[in-house]
Amino acid sequence: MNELQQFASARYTGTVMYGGTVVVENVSSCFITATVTSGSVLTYTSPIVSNLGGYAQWSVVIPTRALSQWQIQGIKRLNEVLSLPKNWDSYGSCPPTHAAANTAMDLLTGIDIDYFVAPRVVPVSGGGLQLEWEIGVRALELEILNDGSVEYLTTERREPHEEGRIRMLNEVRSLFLWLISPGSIQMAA
Amino acid sequence: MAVSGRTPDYEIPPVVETYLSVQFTPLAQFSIPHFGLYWTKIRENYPAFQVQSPLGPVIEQFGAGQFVQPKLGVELVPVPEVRCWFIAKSGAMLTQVQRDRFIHNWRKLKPEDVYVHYDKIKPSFSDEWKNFCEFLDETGLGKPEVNQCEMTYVNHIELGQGWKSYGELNKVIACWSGTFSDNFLPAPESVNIGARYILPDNKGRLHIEMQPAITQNAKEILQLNLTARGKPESSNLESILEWFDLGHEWIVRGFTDFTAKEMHNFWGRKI
Amino acid sequence: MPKWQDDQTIGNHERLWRRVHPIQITFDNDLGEPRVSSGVFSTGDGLSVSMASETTIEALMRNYPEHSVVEFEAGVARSQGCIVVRDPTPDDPAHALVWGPKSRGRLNKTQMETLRNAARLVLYRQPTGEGPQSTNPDSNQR
Repeated sequence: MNELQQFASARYTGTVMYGGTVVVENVSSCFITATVTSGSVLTYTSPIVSNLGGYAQWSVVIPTRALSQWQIQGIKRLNEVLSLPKNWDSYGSCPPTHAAANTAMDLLTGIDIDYFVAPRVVPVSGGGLQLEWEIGVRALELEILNDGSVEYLTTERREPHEEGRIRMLNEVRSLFLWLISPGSIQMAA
Repeated sequence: MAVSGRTPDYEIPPVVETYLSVQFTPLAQFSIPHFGLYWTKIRENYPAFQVQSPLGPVIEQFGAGQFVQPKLGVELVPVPEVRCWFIAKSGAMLTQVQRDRFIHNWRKLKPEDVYVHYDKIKPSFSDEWKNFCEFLDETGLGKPEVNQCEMTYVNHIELGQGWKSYGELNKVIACWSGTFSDNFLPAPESVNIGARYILPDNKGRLHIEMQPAITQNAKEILQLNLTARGKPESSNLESILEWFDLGHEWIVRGFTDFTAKEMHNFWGRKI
Repeated sequence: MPKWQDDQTIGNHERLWRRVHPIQITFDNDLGEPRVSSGVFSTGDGLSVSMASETTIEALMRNYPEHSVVEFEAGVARSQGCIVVRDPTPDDPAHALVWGPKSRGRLNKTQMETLRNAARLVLYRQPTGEGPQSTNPDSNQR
């Protein structure tokens, strides 16, 4: 929750917009207006009852209307991979671990880009998995190891360009931006 | 509609979480240190905690008041309002406290975990609420004046388990026929449903909300939440539990009425 | 973990085979043919392969009707700083390991990509049902 919500208390129930930015108004002559940006999905409220702030619910799900098509497609592919049996690779490997799956979900749902291509999702032996994107002559691979850590490789015209470890989600965003930068498309044209 | 007899029961119901919640007039003197003091009382059973943002007050309205369009106000306060989660050793039970709310949750941790019936959650809630009230009394914080009870059942109906697409939603939701007047529209890509029902004698409402969602382990589901909410006769425990009994009946019978018989067979309806 | 030594009796031109699950094969729109993911060359410890000169495709694939086979030369792995060692097993006397520089013999991402570029599918079994995943540039609508 943002700083404003940390120290503000909603005194009245009201109507909020679903998801995204919540615009609040004053109800009295004591004017305090603020735009509260919520990272979580807020339910549309009826005039009778509304439900503000967080939820009493403990289990967490992501409503699909909060996701872009590419994220939904990526998650469907992830689900296929997570359903693989033991020894799927014929060399005794387990399917992707919970840690790898959780990281994959965080990556797929945490990148705030509306329009993008869906990744290929490929299991790797040893309990990891790999997310792959290809645009024009550039490609990005995020390999999620069985402990949930992430390594990346960028390629250009199928030649390795850069590899490293990912420690924070915003590093992935800069890789995405590299992937879709004009250089990628122009070189392919 | 009067219904007699035992409430429906299932071998493998799709419920993944239930919670019982009591809302009361904010305790004026309840502040940050009291969360810690309360935790010392329950720490043996609830060794872990998390701080969350608070829940706003929610009150079911009836009559003329229900049609007034309220506005949302935000004011800055000198002391932050918080909600504290106290998590049980098992990881499956949770008690949530804020200065105007007390909530007790059960959740399914693993797919093979068995659903904990209401007749076990109710005494668990009762014990924790009594404990909390004792704490309030011992610390001179007063007696809670309960203004709402709320209970929710969270159900996850997984795609591929009894239904394969939104074109087969009629296999899941009893009131969704799946037919159209002119046969122009294709099968829907997704469907959201919200419905409200008034409990007898305006004792509250049953809210049913269904939305497509994805779980943390990448499963596509319909999340079907049934929430009963209303005002108990009084603040005493007996009235609260009596209200929860009513809420429970409406949730379980409402769930059975709302969902299709094909899915009842899939879930192994026993009663 | 014993320290492996490169086995020079395995020549650089020795063809090394590795089984590939259908889900690891992607369709390359530019080449117009299936291509394995570089993930085929990532493992928990050491990359299992079989020496083509000491086995047959039939023996390799006997119990794996859905898998395909990718092939690359031992010299390609060595050129990337890996070592190749024999590791016969009761089920596969031709079994060998490609051992990379990272912990437990993992290859780094560049090594995996290089092997991928050099490898070719010598046995391709079309997946049943849906085809391999592709990156669809049109799947970008909200």
